This record gives sequence, structure tokens and C-alpha cells, in this order.
Amino acid sequence: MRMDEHELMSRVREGDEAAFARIVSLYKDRIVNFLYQMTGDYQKAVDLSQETFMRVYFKADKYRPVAAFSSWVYTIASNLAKTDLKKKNRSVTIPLDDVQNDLKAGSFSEGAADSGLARNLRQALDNLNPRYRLPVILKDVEGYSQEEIAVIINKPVGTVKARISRGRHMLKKYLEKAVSGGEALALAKEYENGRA
Amino acid sequence: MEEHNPLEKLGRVKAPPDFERRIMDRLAHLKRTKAPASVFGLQLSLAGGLTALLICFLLVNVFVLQKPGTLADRNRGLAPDRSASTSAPAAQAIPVMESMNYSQEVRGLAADPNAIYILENVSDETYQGIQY
Repeated sequence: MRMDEHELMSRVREGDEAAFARIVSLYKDRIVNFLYQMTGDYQKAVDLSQETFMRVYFKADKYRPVAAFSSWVYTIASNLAKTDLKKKNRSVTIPLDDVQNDLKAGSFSEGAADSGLARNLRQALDNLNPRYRLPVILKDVEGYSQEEIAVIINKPVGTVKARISRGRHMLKKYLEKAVSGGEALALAKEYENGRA
Repeated sequence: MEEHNPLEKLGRVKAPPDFERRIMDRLAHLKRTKAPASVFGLQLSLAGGLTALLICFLLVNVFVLQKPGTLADRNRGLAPDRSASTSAPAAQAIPVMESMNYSQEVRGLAADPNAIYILENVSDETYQGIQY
């Protein structure tokens, strides 16, 4: 029987490590993927994911079951990602090729992402301001609703809606500008058609 | 109608295989180090609080509750003389009785030995003394 996440958290609050391990097992892939999409750096994503789960454990007493548990975990993860991106703003990013090589070597990837299209999309996403990147990833990669995103990033639904729309538009522009290759243009067109 | 999502082309990544073990190791490590740290923090804050109290006590004693000084200090001008103040407590006043024989003094001053001086008591109140 699948234990309720709120119940798991109430156990974690009492220091139950088995309940915590269950939460880690449930969310590890989602959080690592989310943080990877946010940062574009797999190792950084893993480190931030660990920090996210540490906070889940040590801040368990601050958790209130008013919203979905996943929203709370994503709030922690997105705050960590935002802080990291601020620091990273003035530093050099790791080339995506290196990450993809790691992914192939470590077999942590799912689906065929190693293509020119994916690389261009990744670059466009990295160029996007975190203010827009976060809601776009939560919506288009993680599949959250606008209301859920509003809870996660603690902004009104209208703001979320505007940021998603603007973020998508900017992504499309980046894709058009970034490369003159046929794949990127095709993707930009595809994006435009898909979102129209 | 299903919404087209180009970001799906990014592909998904998974956590590394030893992710859970690393998390649990880190948790165990943090649990070991966090507890003594919290006790140390409590001790530190307690010590800080006590130090602050001591400093306050010293400051109040030095600047607010300043003592008036001894009588000798006052005579030397080292301490303020508060005896003139009406609010000075009676316990701090020192009564000094000085007995004077005015009859002898007047006789000594008079040139004529046959002159008689009648001294009249002008007040029933007894002399209380001089307060310094």
C-alpha cells in the first residue's frame, strides 16, 4: 500500500529515517532532473538535490500539509537553484557536450536527448533569465499547472501565466538567433506552431 | 487537443545509482555534527547573555548610581556637597552643639564694671545645632 506523503512527512518530523528514505526514493529522479534543467549542470543538479533532501529532513517541522507535498519539495529545490544561478551568473558554464558524455557514460539519461535540436534548446534555456526559466521548466518539463507553479514560486497565477508566456516567446527568439542551422530554425518554427 | 511541447526534446536525467546511499550518509554525518553544535550554540548564547548582564550592571553602577563620596572628600572639594539640599536625608546630617556663654563675653567687652546688662530670653525654642 502506498503511504500518503503527508503521513511520511509526519514520520520524518519524528526522525524516522526509513520514511525519509522513502521520500528520497520517490522524488530523487524528478528533483535531479528539474535541477538539471534549471542549472544545465548534472553534477551541480545532484549536489543541489542532496541539499534539497537535507532541508526536507531538517526543516520537516516547518512543513504544513496545506498544499501538495511535491510543491513544497519543488519550492525548496527552486530556491536553491535560484541562489545557485545568482552565484553562477558571473562564472563559466560547463559545456553541454561534457554533460551529455557523462550521461551516456553513467546511463542516467532517459530518451534521446543527444541531438543538435536538444543542444540548441538547452543553450536557449540557459540563456533564459531564471525568472522565466523556472516557470517554463515547471510547466513544460515537469508538467505542473499554473496554479501549482504559483504555489511553488509564491507568485500570483497572473504573474506565472505572464512569465510562462514571455519565457516561451524569449526561448523562441533565442532559438532563432542562436544558430543559423536548419535544425534550430525548424525547432523555433515547431515551437511557434506548438504554442500558437 | 494535446498541446505540443518542444521542451520534451531535452530528455530527462536520473539520479545517480548511489544517490540514496550518499544522502543517508550525509544525513548521518549531519546528525552527528549538528547535535553538539546546538549545545555549543546554547552555551555560547548563555555566556553572551551573562556577559551582557554584567556589563549593564557595571555601567549602571558607575554612571547612574554614583555615590556622593565621603565627608573628607567633600571637604577637599572632591565630592559634591549635598547637605544644603532640602532633599538630603536627615540621617546624613551631623548635628553639632556649640555652647556659648554670652554673659562672660559681654562683660569682657564692657568698659564700665558697674554697668548691668539684662539678658532676656527672646525665644523658647532650644537651639538645635548646626547642620553641616
